[in-house]
Amino acid sequence: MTSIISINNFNKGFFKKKVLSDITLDIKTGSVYGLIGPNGSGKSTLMKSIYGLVKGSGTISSLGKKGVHIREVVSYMPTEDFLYSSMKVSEIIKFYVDMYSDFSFLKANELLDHMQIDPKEQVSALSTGMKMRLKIVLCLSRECSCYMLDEPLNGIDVISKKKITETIIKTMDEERSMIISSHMLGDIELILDRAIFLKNGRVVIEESLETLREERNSSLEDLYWEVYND
Amino acid sequence: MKFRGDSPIYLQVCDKIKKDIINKLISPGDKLPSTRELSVKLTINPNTAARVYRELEDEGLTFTQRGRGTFVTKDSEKLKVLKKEVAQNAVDSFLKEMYEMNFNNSEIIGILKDEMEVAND
Amino acid sequence: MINIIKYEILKKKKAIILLMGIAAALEAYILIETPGGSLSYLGYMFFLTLVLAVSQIIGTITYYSKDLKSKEGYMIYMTPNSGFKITLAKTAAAIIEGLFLTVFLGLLLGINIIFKGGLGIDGTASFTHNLNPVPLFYALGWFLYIISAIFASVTVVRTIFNKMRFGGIITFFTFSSLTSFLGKFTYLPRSVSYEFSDIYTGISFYVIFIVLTFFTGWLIDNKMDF
Repeated sequence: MTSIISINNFNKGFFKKKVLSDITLDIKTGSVYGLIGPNGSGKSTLMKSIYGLVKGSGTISSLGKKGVHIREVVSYMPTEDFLYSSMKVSEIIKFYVDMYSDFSFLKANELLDHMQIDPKEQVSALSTGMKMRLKIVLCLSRECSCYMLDEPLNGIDVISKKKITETIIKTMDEERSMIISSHMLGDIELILDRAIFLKNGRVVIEESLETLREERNSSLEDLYWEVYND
Repeated sequence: MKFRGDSPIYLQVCDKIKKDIINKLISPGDKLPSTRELSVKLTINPNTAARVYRELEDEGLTFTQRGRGTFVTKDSEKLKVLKKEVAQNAVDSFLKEMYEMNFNNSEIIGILKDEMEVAND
Repeated sequence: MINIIKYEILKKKKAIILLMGIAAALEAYILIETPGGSLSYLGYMFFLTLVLAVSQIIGTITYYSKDLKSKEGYMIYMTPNSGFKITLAKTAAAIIEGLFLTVFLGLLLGINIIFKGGLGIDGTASFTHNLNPVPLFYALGWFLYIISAIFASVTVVRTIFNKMRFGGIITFFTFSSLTSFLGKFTYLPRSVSYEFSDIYTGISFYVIFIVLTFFTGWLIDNKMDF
């Protein structure tokens, strides 16, 4: 297990608007990390900071790279609707092939097929569930060391959830790591190795799920209540 | 497979596989799914799936052949012991519940006899 | 970087085709309705040129600003390319589009001249004179200078103010201040050196363009939150 992402004393914002405070984390290979917390706890901001879309103080590095160069080894799926609505799916795939040297056209087509997305469709014609599936395809078709998915299961149908979760599991291996954020533990609990609980921009728990279950003898949903109920 | 929230996932999966072996849903010598296949089938983390097979192997219920997969043991002794263990665990849970409700042993035996008669009809 | 330029231009495909359609319609009107050599003939040709020029300028600013603000701009800014590279590519795209529209305009005006006669002056001589590399050198330099100043202004304002309330006005003000300030560096008084005054201005345009593009890239990579 080697370190893939190193975050050291990262801070974003100031005074009352401190979005992230003293974040120090070490993301290692071979583990799926769950970034847990309610809306506004800083999950998206943390992911964007790692990816270089948000700037703050402190250091974040991945395999010796910093800033925009982290994107060469980290693949990121934002929660926002960021795809050009006037492009067709096949055109978006072509864009990714052109822009990311580690993007696998082969894998993308396999995944599009598995997710039942028609490459000839325009993005604007896709339903919410299909758009999410497409975003997942784009993120996971890159062959790299770390994948960050921001709320990949948010507000979509059960079938999409199953297909997406399966794809996440299939992409994972000992040389890779994943960070999946969610404000609902229930959906992703079974696929996580470790959980990072964020509260008001701070890391309050960073532990393996096995340890948490063994220590507490209660469900993680109860733990969630404990941490955030105030 | 539905998971409970209060005990480690890998243990729950081990228990399920043990039950399947006892119920003859899985036969001695059968090839089990690979860790990857298991994790996808149950929608669990691949490391958890690996842990399941490690546990089963430690208990001697399965063995792994490099490059060929994980197989259920054919050793009938081990399987007998397994059956007994699972039965003992079930009875222990039952007794714990009954004792918590303040039943004594003769009461428990009485209830058992009645329920067995009903079940055998 | 060729790829980024390609996508920047493709993104505006529909808008450019629409613009060309409007220009063609206007041209058809000029051809059919206005008598050759008249004042309205000249006026309309001038108007056509203006429409194309203004649309291209406004379009460039709008697309650049939208990409920085909206979620659809994410796609380009999420790629592992430095801010400098992306800004340079956007500049190149704007220049290429401009050249394309200029050639298109030339064709349209050429049709006019063929069917309705010239502008009363011998246009061909002045046209070939303007194809001289020297004026082109200055013109290109000036365009690059202006575009980089626009991009820098939009980027500065967007970096400081996340939500652009009076964004357009503030940006215009920033742009004006920036160009008046930089304008001083482009001017070498003839008293200092007569021969090199013009060349100095031309070169200063290119230097400022590079500096501003680096600055814009730096803001994007180190200061801007998306």
